[in-house]
Amino acid sequence: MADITELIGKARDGDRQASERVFALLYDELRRLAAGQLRGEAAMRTTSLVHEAYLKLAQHGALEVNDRGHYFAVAARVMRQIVIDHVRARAALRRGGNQQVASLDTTALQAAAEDRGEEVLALDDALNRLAGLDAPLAALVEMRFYAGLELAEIASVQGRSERSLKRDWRRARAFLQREIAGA
Amino acid sequence: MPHDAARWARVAAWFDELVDLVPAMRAARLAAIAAEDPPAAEELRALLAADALEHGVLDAGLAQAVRDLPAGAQAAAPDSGRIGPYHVLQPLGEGGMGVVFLAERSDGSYEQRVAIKLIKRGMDSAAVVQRFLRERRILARLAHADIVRLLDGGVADDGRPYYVMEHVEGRALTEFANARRLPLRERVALVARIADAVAYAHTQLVVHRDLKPSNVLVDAGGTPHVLDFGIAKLLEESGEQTRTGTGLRVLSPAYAAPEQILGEAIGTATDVYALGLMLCELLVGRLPRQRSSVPAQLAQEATHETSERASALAARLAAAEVDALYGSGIDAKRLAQALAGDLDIIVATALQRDPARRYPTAAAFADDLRRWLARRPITARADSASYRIARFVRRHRAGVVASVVVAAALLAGLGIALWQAQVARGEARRADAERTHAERQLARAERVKDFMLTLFREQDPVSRAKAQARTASQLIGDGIVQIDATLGEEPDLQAELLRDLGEIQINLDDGKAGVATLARAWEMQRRLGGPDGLAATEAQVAYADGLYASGDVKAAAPLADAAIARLRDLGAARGARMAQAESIASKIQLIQGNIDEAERLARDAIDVTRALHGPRSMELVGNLALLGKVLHEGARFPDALAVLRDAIGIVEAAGGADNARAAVLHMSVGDTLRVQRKYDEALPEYEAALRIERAQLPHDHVILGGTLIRLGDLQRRMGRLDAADASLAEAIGILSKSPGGQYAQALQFHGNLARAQGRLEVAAQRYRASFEAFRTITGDSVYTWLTALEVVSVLGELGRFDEADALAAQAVAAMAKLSKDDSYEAAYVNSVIGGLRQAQHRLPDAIVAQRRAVVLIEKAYGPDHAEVAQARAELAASLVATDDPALRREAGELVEQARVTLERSGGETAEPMLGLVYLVRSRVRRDDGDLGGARTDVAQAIGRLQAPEHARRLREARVLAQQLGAG
Repeated sequence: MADITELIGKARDGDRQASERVFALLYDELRRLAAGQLRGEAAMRTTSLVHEAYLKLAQHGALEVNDRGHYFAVAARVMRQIVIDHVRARAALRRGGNQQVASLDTTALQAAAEDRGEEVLALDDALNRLAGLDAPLAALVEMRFYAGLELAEIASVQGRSERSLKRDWRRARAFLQREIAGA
Repeated sequence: MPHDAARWARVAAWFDELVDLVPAMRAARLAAIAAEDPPAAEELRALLAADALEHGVLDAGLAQAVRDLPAGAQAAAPDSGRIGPYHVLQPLGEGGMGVVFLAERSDGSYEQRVAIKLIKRGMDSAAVVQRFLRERRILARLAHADIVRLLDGGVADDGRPYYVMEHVEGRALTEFANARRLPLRERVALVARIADAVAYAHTQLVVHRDLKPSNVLVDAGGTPHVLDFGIAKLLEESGEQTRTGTGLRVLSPAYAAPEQILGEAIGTATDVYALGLMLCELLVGRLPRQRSSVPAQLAQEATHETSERASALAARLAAAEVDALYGSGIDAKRLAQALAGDLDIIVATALQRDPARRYPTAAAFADDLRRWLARRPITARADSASYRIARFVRRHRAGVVASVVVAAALLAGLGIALWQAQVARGEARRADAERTHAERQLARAERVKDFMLTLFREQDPVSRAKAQARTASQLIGDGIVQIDATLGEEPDLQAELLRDLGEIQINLDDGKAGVATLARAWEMQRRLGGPDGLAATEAQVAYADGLYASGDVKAAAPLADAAIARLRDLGAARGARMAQAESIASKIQLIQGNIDEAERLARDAIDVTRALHGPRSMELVGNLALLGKVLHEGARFPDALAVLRDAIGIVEAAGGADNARAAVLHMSVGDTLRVQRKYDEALPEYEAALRIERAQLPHDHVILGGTLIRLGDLQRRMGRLDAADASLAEAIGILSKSPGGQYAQALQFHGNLARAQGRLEVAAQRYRASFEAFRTITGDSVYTWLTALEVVSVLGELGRFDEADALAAQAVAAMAKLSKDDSYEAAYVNSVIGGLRQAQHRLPDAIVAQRRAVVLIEKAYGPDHAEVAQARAELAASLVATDDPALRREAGELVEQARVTLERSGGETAEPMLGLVYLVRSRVRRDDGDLGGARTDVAQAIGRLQAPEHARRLREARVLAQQLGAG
């Protein structure tokens, strides 16, 4: 854990390798938390995951105050990756899934009927296009949608007004919805 | 891509600017941007459209978008281990939307183990919560020994709703049967019993929608308990179907019927399908088809679904599999033999892809299982009569409509008859003494049922006896002949059936025949049990109702009154016939203008009905509608609205918002709002009535015509002239097929519309057509000649004075005979004649008639009514046109009075009247030398006379304005 705080510091200062390491480490940490923590919760609360990981880091004392914003940005990216990997893996399972098993596994079928995996994948593509045009806007979406952070919280770590973030969010949302609808 | 990024920055800035603008300004700004940068404007339009989209994946939140993340999550009990006053013991199971816990009540009041279904955390989106709460309501209505009872419900501390059911110690249906190695016949009997419970729910208009073995627990005593009416939904009685629609399909695809997968209409047949699957699984241990896991494929398969025969599945079972089901007493070959034939057909009939080809009800399915158990021929094999009925309904939709009217009337009777028969069957088993009575009830039920089948068969060109379908009335006539021929030995049954059929004849508008039949029924009952007996009195009520319905109020009144008194003497003051008699008497009192007595009777009828059928029963609806009408007539509009809306609430709770009975109620609500000039509120009521009628009735049904007339007239009053034209034209098209009073009325409204549009020639034609229609239909009635006066009025406007004079003379003569000199009608005659004379510049004649009109209208309405103001303004217009200074002074006083009244009353008719007032006052002021005041007034007049129908007055005002040099 001490490693990761150090790496976050380096990553913030532009160290590319350190950035990749942070990402990989957080990926494992958050996934572990997702699987283990919140047992008994019907749906993952990504906010609590990200916060819990942060608290662990902060307890080690090595995170500087201005690392917080960077941490959340990276953690949000990580959460996005976890989600996409999960949705893709599940889709692959379904494609290859044999019917005998599938017909018994009504939970999976139910998920197929109900959830919005396709849309989540389309969102991911759209978000990549948005990042090409306006990277901070894409980061905002990651933090709010994938990390589940409130706009007020994002505003505080980024030192911006909630009002202007609200405006950014609305614009990002319009862009993404247009892209998804047009896809 | 720096270029793109720069472009995006530009677009982004514009977007931020545009989203905050109101639509009109937004459009203007967009147009400006489009002039400068067309592609950017295009992109902005797309972004703004996307901005308006709701329920996107971003809005749902991640937890909603990816439900099973992380894998294996479970729903939890609240941390406190308590739900409401219950202490959670252990989880019992988990479903699509909720978790079930075993719990016990822990407030010390009493100890009881219960099952609590708690909504999952993370799923408590508004839609799910709403469904959950609906489930709670529905369950509370179901009271059946084999349906798990709802005990309680609430919202847990953490905000999750829950409900409490009785806890059933039992095993899932298939587990239970297999563990006990239940023999074939017992399995069939068990499914028949489950089907009975489902059939009961269907009579409560609840479809389960998610029946499967795990939703049926069987206790140690072998009693099945149907659980989880979780996605049950009130079965809307509409022909337009309910749809799952929400995308929240929490169903088990393996057990779902094809229509559920395809999002088609869901109905009782959906449960029949699930019962068929359950039967198949119980008999052979597997489902007759596999379902794909890929949604797209699932739909594809469901569209062309075929199921394997149960016997074929059985034949392929391994010995161990058969043993796991039935034990060692039977092998695959013998099992297949036992299933082949009738059970195969029963399963296949329940599993038809097309819901219309399945058993129509769970009860029919249960019946066939019992026939099989009793070794009688099953109906599915015989001829699938029910399938044929459904097929006729679809193929001969138009023809069937007539018989559906009959069927609807009959169903009420049939429902009672069948219920009595059911009771009778039970009685017959129990007590021999009751046997005769029971069998007669059965005979009656059978008769009515046969009769209904005849009606449907009559629509089938192949099976009906004659080349042309007989009408419903002819069929009933034949039915009466048949009853007379076959039931001479049993005069009491004969009399009862005559009464039923007589009531149907009345409902079919065959008044004359109905009254004759009911008179016979009454006569027979009087002979059988004496004139003062209960049966005779009840028949008397039916007869009085028939008389009333066919328009013979005079004969009906004493019969209804006498029946009320006698029912009270007989101790039957709280029976259904009492309510009926009171409602007839109430209607009669209403006609006679005794509003208080009408209200008393209607309220007592409601009390009686409520005591008999419960506080929210559909039986109340007719009486509530009557009370609403009584209150409306008594000008107690808020009370009337409350009663009518209560009735709508009952209908919607019992049969869904689209229930046909709601249509008439919406119409009454609309009428009550319209007379209060609450047009904006009346409009949606008429529209609701129309929507229901369009869904429920053939497109040219006379009831639709009646609604369209009201709607069209309202639209005209609201200034929506094009919409009014469409409504009225459609109404006329419908009503012209059998022209009656409503047809003539529609023509008149259409004339009003043309007048409002300033199309006076057309208005004259339409009024004339209406006049002639009224004359044909009602003879020399008030309606006929009031309409003639409309013709006169328009002809006068058009300057066609010769025609106007000729018709006016006829109208005046006719009205003199029809109504009293001081009636409102006489006032109207005088005001029309006055207007004509004024247009002809026969001012002394005009003034005489108009003075008379003012006096009469004042008498009818009091001095401060808008109608009086109008009459005063018209009179003033004639007075001011004379050369007599005294008369001109009088005109000035009159318009001043009128102005005060009109400005106070407001409303859509007041404005043009004020226009006339200002026009007259302008003339008065001009003559007094007040040219400035005259100019102001004429400008006021011109502003208020813009509607096309006031074209003549507007011309006069313009001429005056020119003379005054006012513009």
